[in-house]
Amino acid sequence: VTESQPEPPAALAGSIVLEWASGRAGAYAGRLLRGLGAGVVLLERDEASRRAALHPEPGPAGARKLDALIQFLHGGKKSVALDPVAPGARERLLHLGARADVLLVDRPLAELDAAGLSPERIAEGCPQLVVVAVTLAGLHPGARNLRHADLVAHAIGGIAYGTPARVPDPATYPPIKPGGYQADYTAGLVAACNALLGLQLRRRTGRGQLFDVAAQAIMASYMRMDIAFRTYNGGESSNISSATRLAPEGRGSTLWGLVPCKDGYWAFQATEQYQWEGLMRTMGDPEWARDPRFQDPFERLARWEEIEPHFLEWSREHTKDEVFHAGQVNHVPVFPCYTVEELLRDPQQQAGSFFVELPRDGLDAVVRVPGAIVHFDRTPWRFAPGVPAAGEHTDEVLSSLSGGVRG
Amino acid sequence: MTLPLEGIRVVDFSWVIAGPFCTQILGLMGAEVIRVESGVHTDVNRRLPPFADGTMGTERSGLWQGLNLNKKSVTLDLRKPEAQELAIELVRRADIALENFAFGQFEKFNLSYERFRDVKPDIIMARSSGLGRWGPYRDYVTFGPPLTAYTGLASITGQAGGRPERWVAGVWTDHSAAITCLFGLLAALEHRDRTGEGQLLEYSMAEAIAAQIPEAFIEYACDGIVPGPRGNQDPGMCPHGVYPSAGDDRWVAIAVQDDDDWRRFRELVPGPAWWRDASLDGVAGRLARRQEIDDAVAAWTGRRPPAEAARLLQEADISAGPAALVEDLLADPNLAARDFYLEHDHPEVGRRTLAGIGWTMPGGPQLEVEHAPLLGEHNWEVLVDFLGLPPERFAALVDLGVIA
Repeated sequence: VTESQPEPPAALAGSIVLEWASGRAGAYAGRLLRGLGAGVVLLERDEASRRAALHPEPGPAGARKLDALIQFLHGGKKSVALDPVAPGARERLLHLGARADVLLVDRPLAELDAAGLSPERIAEGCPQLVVVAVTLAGLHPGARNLRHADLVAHAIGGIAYGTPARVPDPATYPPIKPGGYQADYTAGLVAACNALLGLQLRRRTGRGQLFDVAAQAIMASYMRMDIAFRTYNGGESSNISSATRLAPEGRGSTLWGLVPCKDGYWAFQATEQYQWEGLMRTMGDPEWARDPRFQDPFERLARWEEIEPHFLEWSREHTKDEVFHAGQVNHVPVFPCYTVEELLRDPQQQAGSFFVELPRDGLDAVVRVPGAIVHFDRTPWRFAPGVPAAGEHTDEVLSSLSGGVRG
Repeated sequence: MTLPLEGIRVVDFSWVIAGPFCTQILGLMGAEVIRVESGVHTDVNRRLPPFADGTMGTERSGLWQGLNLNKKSVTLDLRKPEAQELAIELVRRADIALENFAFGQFEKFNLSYERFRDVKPDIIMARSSGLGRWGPYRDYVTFGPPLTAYTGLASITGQAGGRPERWVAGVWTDHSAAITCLFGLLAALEHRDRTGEGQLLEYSMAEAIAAQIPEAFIEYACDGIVPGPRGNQDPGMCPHGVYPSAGDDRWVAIAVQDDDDWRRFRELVPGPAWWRDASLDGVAGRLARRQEIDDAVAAWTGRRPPAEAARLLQEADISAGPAALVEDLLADPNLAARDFYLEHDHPEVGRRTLAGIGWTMPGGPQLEVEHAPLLGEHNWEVLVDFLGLPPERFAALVDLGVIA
């Protein structure tokens, strides 16, 4: 951007978001809204609580990674000191809430209830405020005090049990969560959406709104196909492959898989007949594929145990990138199984602008992290650098927001 | 009560899962969603199970219906110019349009953001792609499940030290892409409300997934080691896992998140003689003996059903919960308490239960559910009553296969 080209406007310029978070969900929601141009204010006790909330790996290596993660999550935000159990905390929060647009809160509710600062009380005290509360299972009495954890959200939302397919030995192969902290980040993304929905609702009604975001419900909402297998056909849970955790065969309709090859794995999906035919062309139109028993998609699925050895035999002579490009030439959704290192080196990623480099501020390595998840042609999402010290902007924010109540 | 998106009209050219799930949410939030379908090459999900009562049929897929509540269905053969003009007329009266065809397909229908903007200058349009709309692989074809492999997510999903996992439950990529699209549309809507300006927004399914594994990129950069699967282990928490419970293939997830949690945990869960060693007071000491600790935890959990173990731990303020099967989800009291499940009365398959969404609006508007539409159910309502197409012209276009 040059002087002659003013920066395009930000979608949320002028909006104030309070982030009273204790984990990744609230922090990620704040990051997404900050990238849209909102002023995001962290409400936090101190530096130690900020770091402890992310449960870092112990030791110096863990501290370095935590520094980078904090840059990723909190870049461009401001920080106001707020200890919920300190005298005057309630008044300070309500003062800020009356002047802000959105409050993101994912702290344990027992702590907030004890301080008289439950999301419901805040919403009641700040009728113009959009309050987005993120919990493990909801704000209702039976779930209210359940402690949140990413792993547990995956478990009680059905994702963990549904993830390993065709496990070799169920007794020693537990359900697993997807890598990283998917439930937390997904809850953060949903919370950001709810903040934006709240602004839409406020525009229509003139009032704020409390949103009750439950990580369990989000995970369960992703399980909609498995749930429909129960409610539509009375069957046991399944997925599109029919390859459930315990049974390799079932009622699915889609052939797919992760196939070992010369240098790793490649993945494919053949839902439509033309995709299967393309896959066979990729494999050189093998003789076995002409077997009449393999011409129907449902038959192929039922006979995967017979088909798989042919895949393996062919695949071990090819690299994942060879299969990737050859499959795509034949219009088959085929992908290499990349590590994060390989993804960063991939020509498609090299050509794009998705990954951004964290500022070197305090970091002893070049750290490239994901950037904008949506590319807007008028109001680009921007990664904002600069992590505030805890409480750094207390006076500035309190004085700047003392001018009047938003209404 | 007023819903957040009342007054918003969406023309939905998307199909499969990501686009339809996003527009279903828009519909549940109050928007009017007009789904433009092909009656010739129907959405693949109309042809995929589960089918109501096991009987195949265009109007019987629970997968399709679970993604298309609160929509109107219009069938247009977009290969034909007359259908393209009708699509343009719909967009002229809309706030949002979205499509997720393979790269270049929409342009083959002579449809584009530029054309939409000409007739509706403040239109907001979302376009999705598999790997991005720029770069050498922009026209590569995509389906969600295998895309987890490309993004790096599969490489860090699996049992510790094992092979990548072939499946992430919940058709993960598609649903994540849907919420990503929702975020983009709502942000663009906010901008339009403030400035009167529409815009084009684009997202890729690959980026939607890679965006949510920042720790893996940070770990690679800081440690110089390529991360692999670590199961349910966590580098900063211990014990942290999914442990065997009493029952057939039953498991309970436990996350001891800090040292205070550990002190309460060891009071509740009896362990071996070294259980109270001071060396375990800090997480570094516990991580050093992770396997021994996990074995001791498993010995405790293995003697009780997962719900009982979870309840005892929750009462001690420790995060825990059963690894839920689908039947558990359907019976879950917390999901029931928030009216998670949606019921629709469908003309062909009757009253059916479907999964809902991840949030509620306490004290505010409640969701109103309309059944997933029959193929072309709203052709007359949308094209004649709304667009003003003369009835005789409607009949002619049906005969010509334009409305089909």
